[in-house]
Amino acid sequence: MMKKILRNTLVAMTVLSIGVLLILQNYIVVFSGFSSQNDNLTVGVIDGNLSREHSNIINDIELMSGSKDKTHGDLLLEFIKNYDDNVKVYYFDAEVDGIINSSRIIEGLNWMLENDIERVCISLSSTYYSDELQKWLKKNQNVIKVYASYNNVLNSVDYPAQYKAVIGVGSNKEVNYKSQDIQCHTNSIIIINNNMHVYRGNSYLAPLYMMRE
Amino acid sequence: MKKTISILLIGILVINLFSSPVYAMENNSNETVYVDGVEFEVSLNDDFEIVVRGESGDNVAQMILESDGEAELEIENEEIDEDRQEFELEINDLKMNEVNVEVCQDNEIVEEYTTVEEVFEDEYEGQVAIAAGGITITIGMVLEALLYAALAVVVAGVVYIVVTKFYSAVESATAKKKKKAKKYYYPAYIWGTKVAVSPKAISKTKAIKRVKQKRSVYSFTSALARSIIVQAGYSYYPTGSKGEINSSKKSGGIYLYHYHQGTKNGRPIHNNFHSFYGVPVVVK
Repeated sequence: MMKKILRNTLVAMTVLSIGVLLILQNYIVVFSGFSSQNDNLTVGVIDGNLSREHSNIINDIELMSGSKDKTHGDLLLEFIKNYDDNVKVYYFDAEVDGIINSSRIIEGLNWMLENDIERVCISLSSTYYSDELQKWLKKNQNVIKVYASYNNVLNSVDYPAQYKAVIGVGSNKEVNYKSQDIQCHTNSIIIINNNMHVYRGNSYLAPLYMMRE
Repeated sequence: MKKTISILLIGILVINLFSSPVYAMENNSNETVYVDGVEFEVSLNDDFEIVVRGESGDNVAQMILESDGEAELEIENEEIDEDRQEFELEINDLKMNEVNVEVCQDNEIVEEYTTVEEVFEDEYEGQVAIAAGGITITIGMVLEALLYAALAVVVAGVVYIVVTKFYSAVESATAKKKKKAKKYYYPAYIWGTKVAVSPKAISKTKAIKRVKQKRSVYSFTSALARSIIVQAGYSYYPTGSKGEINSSKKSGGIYLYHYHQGTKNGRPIHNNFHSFYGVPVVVK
């Protein structure tokens, strides 16, 4: 009887260990309660429209119910909220007539600067190189840290992640990463707070590392 | 609760194991570039034409660009036999800061790119989900691939190929083709820190005319490089059998030995033509 219990326990522990190893290999696991080092964390997000009226300064992120109406911006805010419930987010909606371009990104960054935001994430990408934006980023690199995700699909040219002075975060092995970039082994993330939240996509990597710093 | 989480985690793991994206990159001398996840190969064929080929699932695109900027582009979906489109492109300029491309189908203009912004749209998007199956390949994507590869530039309807690639292509050509290619002159273009040459050979007479117009020329030997300067009625600088090279002055790029036009006092005339020659020197 004792032998049987021991054997079953051993089997259960082996299966659990393999499970944990596979999870760590295929996911970035974040325990929300242990991740926040700062009670008054304030971060910036530049993205497109949200699905609802909102203030540009968001103290308490209201989670959207349902899934079909969520925008890219909604999903980023939801991710940030699940990562740290007490975070304060300065959100700049850079979308005008359905388009986000380099000049709107610069406007957003200037707004972050005026509000003394030190960390900003941009989970957007384009193949267009803007000399003006590159100059802005280099000029202000000591004041504001910009995190940008590489696209989910591989691009030989991928901005803003490829700009100098930007911390690009990606998961594709073939990306020609800069020295300050972060290459993750996966773009699948599990956040565990009261519940378990699973996210997939490079969009979440920039906010993850911005929050994690 | 723990049991539910375990079941959920194992379920997610199983799904993930079957859906993990796999990337592979071929290791060859062609330039491989990615546009929106589509892998394009940019290479030179035996006739020194530029071939841009991209594949995504059943979608295949291939463009062959001739030395005069004329190109044929085929975009097809291999799954559907009739879904095949052919375009003729007239590429007058294709550089990172200048674009002038006319796209025709059945002798009618269907698309024109006159600014860089029309090829590289100043538009940002949230990272999309990894597309299942093929991504539709567009004309703009093929042009982007050609620009990214930085293997060639088109200026005023003339295609100039990075000299290292052109030199390698000549060296690996058949003995007959190689011997013939090395007798001629080639229009040259200084492209940032690189030198690019048109693969369309020109005669000595045309090369002399070109240096008289203060335009650069490439040839395979120092004797050829000097002779066009002399026959144009100039003296050459430096005066020896070996030209000068600027590789030690700069940090990185592709450099070639070359001659300048010389003055009566044995000084070089800069900001004029270069008569380049020989093996390219790559400085990293």
